[in-house]
Amino acid sequence: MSTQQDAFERMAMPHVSALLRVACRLRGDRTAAEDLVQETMLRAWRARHQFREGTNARAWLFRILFHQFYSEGRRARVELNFVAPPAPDQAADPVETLEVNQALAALSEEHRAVLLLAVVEGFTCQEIAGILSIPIGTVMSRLSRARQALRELLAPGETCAKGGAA
Amino acid sequence: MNCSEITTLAPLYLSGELDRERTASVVAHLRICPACARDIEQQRDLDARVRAALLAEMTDAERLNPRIHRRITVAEAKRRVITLGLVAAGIVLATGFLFYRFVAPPVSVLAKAAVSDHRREVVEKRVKRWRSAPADIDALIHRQGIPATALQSLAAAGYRLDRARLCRLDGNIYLHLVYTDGSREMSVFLRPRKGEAVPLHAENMGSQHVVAVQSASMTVVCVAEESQAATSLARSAATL
Repeated sequence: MSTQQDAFERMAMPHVSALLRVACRLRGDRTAAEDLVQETMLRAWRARHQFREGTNARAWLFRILFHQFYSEGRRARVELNFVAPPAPDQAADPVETLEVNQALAALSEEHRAVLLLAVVEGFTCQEIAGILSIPIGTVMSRLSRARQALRELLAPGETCAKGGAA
Repeated sequence: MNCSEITTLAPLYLSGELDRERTASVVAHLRICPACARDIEQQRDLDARVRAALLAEMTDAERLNPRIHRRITVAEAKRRVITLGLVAAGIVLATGFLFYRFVAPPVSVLAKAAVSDHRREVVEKRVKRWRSAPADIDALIHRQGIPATALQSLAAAGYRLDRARLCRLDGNIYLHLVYTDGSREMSVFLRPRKGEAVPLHAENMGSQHVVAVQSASMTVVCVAEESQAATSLARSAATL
């Protein structure tokens, strides 16, 4: 393995799991998600000279993932039909996992994308704007609507009746 | 700050992106507005629920990692092969170009260029600026590094030197001499060279007869309507 390849793999490979987690929700199919991540990593390898050392490698990889997803998405889009089993060391309730996944699948693609990036992957609105190449205001409004939609799906009884406090 | 502003700023507040001043304003509003406080709290709970459910899943990238590694290795090998191929093709092209340009320009190409130049400058008389005074012609010949004795060898029977100028044939500067017998005109193109003599090349191009010869010290191309005059002149040039 060349030094360059070694350095690239040290920088990029630790993020494969996170990319795969999001790709599964975007593609809805494990095999298609793996293909998406593989193409993302290949693109990242080819564009490795554009990556500036010391900047956010994770955000850079997610940006490539979404570019790849949108460029492929024009050709084919699939329904969510995959839910990964819980990790053996996690005490997750399988029913809860299924419910959350079904609720996420019911969201629109753009709402699901911002929600996954913000809530699961922990990106800031500013970083999401960079990843998706959209204005930060759009990220904020999509995130608010996504949270509202998800709340209606997962906790339909909890409605918010706001007053007029100033 | 009112409830509507809180709704707008909620994503930035929850991700910790608000500056200290605006965070304080949001916190102050949440203290006095139970509806907004509950809303923010519910959003936090929902985020935690989604995060816990998804992060507990087994993503298992183990089987994907070797595929990625292989794909990159193959792509890199392909890139190297393509790069080497391009470099090799570039070297071949550059060598061919240099050989064509400086070592052995094909005589046929030169002959074609000479006929074209003769037609344009002599037959169609599109060029007006010639040197016709003997002193001017001698100076031009001298500047091109052509020995004055060469002109004597190039004298064809019945023809006299009428005028001269510099022209470009196949990318190189040539001395263009025009000989006349009173009614017909013949072009002679000269350029000094160093190398082995190349056999005489003669062909007809339309109404023009062209003869090219490369002696050890000179490239000479003659273009004339009369083949005999051109051939005779070129044969004399072969001894230069």
